[in-house]
Amino acid sequence: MNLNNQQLKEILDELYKLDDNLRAKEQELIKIIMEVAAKRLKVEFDDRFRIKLRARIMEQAKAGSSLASLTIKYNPMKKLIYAVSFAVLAVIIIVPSFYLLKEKKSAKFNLTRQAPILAINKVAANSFGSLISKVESTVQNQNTGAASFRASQANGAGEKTLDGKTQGAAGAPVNNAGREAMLDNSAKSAANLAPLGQGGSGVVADVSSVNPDAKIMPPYQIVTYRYVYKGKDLPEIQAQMDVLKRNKISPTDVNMADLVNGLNIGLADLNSFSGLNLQNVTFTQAGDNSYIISVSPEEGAISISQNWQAWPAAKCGNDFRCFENTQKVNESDMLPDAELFKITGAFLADHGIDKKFYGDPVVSYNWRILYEASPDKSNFYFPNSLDVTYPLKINDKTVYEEYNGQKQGLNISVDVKNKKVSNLYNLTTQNYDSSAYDMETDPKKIIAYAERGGVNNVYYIMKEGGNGKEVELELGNPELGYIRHYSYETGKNSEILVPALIFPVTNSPKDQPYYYRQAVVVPLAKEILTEREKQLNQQSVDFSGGAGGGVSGSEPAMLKAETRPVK
Amino acid sequence: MSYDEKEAIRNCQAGELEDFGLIYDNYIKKIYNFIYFKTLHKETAEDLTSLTFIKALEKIKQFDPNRGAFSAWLYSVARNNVTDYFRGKKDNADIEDIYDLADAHDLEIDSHNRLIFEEVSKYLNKLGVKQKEILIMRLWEGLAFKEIADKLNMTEANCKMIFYRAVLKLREELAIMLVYIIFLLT
Repeated sequence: MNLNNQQLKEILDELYKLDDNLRAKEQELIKIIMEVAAKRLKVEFDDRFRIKLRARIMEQAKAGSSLASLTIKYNPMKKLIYAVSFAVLAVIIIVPSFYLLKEKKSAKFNLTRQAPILAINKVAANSFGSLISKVESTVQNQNTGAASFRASQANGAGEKTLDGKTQGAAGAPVNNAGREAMLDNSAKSAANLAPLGQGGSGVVADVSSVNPDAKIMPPYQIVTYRYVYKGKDLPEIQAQMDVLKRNKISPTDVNMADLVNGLNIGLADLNSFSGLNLQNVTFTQAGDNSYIISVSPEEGAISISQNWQAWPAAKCGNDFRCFENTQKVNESDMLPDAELFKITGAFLADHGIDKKFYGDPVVSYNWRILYEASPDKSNFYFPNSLDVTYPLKINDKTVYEEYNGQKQGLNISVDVKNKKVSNLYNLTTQNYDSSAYDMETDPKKIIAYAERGGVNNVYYIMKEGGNGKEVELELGNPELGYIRHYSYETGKNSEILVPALIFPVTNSPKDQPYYYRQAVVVPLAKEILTEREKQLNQQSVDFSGGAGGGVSGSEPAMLKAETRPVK
Repeated sequence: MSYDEKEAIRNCQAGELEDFGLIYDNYIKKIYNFIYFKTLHKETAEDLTSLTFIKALEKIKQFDPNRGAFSAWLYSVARNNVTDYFRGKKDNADIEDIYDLADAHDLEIDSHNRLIFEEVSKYLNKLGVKQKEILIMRLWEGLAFKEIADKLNMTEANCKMIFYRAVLKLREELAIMLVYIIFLLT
């Protein structure tokens, strides 16, 4: 630490007050003091260590508090109870602490099993800065649909994958080919134009060019959805609520740097690089139907994916007939929800994955709707895997995806042909900082936004007498939850959870197979809602033949919130 | 959030251990730095810091505010953990920090500090434990004598006096080194 003149003068004055004779040796003293100060050893304080230790300490503090209050409340023998309580507390604290230290010293290369904990550390209001840039990139990803959003997760939001292979990523598995292919094939059998009413930015080039007399393609019909809130008065929203930001702490206490310390792998001496630490590590399991497990201490995440080479489909190689005969999925192969949950539940139990942060599982994609709507069921593409989501719950609030209102959390794919779990992702450490932000409290504004269909909902303005259809959908009483967003600023991605009201769609259209929105999500953070409203005003497609004619992205008069009737 | 240490301690001693988080937040970096300057190894410092706070949580009821400042109590827990650590490493020798070791080559020191350690240990190991602590806190951590006094459960005047003696000792050592160098050159 280099001292400035003021600091140096202060120190010298302190010394002279004790011994004025030292003034005669001032030059020597200055040399000594400056040299010692300059030789300050460098301290590197790891914030992840601070966060992790705090979580463990508070977990133990909480256990101690509960124990003390419980026994003291119900037993008049307080002195004895204090002694017993603290003896038990001492055991609770001391035993794990020595275990922690001992294990760390002796088990240098073993991944220690730690019970997962949920920790939320309160920090000052608005500590995460503006939420807007943290949200926008996520919304843009969502514009391209679920599959590509999850793919962006797999790549660490545009950054390197773990081992260069898509299946090894510590985020989502990139292989959503099943779902994409199903959408693609089924869509082709119905129409060759953009998905109907999907709420994306799928703008049709020119509707009037479709020939209604065409023998092969059915007439194209544009559907626009209008939402109406039919629930009770909204619950009171607090003026400020906590936004949570996930701290990416390693899932293990083992110092990953120890795994490379002293390692000379022949091609290079890793020990010659100072300050090395493991960013990601991937394990491959041997045997049939085995897995690839990726651990990312940097992201605080673990993912498990099929080791493709070891699963039955790989045996077919490039032989399409072999695949058709042995791996093609038929209707009889499709598993009911109960059986899916049995398979995923058993997988979690077998591999020591704790479900305590997650709610009851849900199947996150309903292939049956598309199948029932398909005009050619014989050519219907049944997905080779089905996704189960164990929704993340924090402070009794469920986490949702904003663009489709689906629950978000631990994702598990089940290979339906082989009746086995094929992929697991979004298994992360649960350590958050929480910071208060201003929320929208005006129920009229909230309902108005909900009735506009939320983010990415595109309104199609129809030509009078044209080939369009408006469907009214009802929104039920909302639930208070969170939406998860990712920020890709400064080359790193961070995750934040924002309080939101989730309005369920109570009468999803049965005859619109591509309608995907289970709920309309209204983010409550004022900053985000204001930005969303601006976006909605820009998201419309005008087929009415109004100003500009044809397709336009201009702002339609009908979409302004204040012109919509609000209950 | 304002931090009222006395109230937090009172609450913890009354069984409301959630307030220990406030104490933790206030001291974690200071205790870590204190331990790190004695061990010069990140993982060891993290281990001993963890142990310090675990013990502090366990024993907070034993802290008596009439006998001194809480910071002094906490620093003494940290210091004892460091001493125990070195005793375990060096056959129960009375070693308080890494500068006391005649030969620290077999001990893990963070590589980015190894060179500087070898330079500073030449004169720091000539100082007493308290002299080193006060010198480090004053010159490396930039703490005022009043803060140092609180942490070490001493008077401010006493801290200043110890610092003064440490500086004189360093002056002596540097003079001896100079004489030695002159002797070698002639």
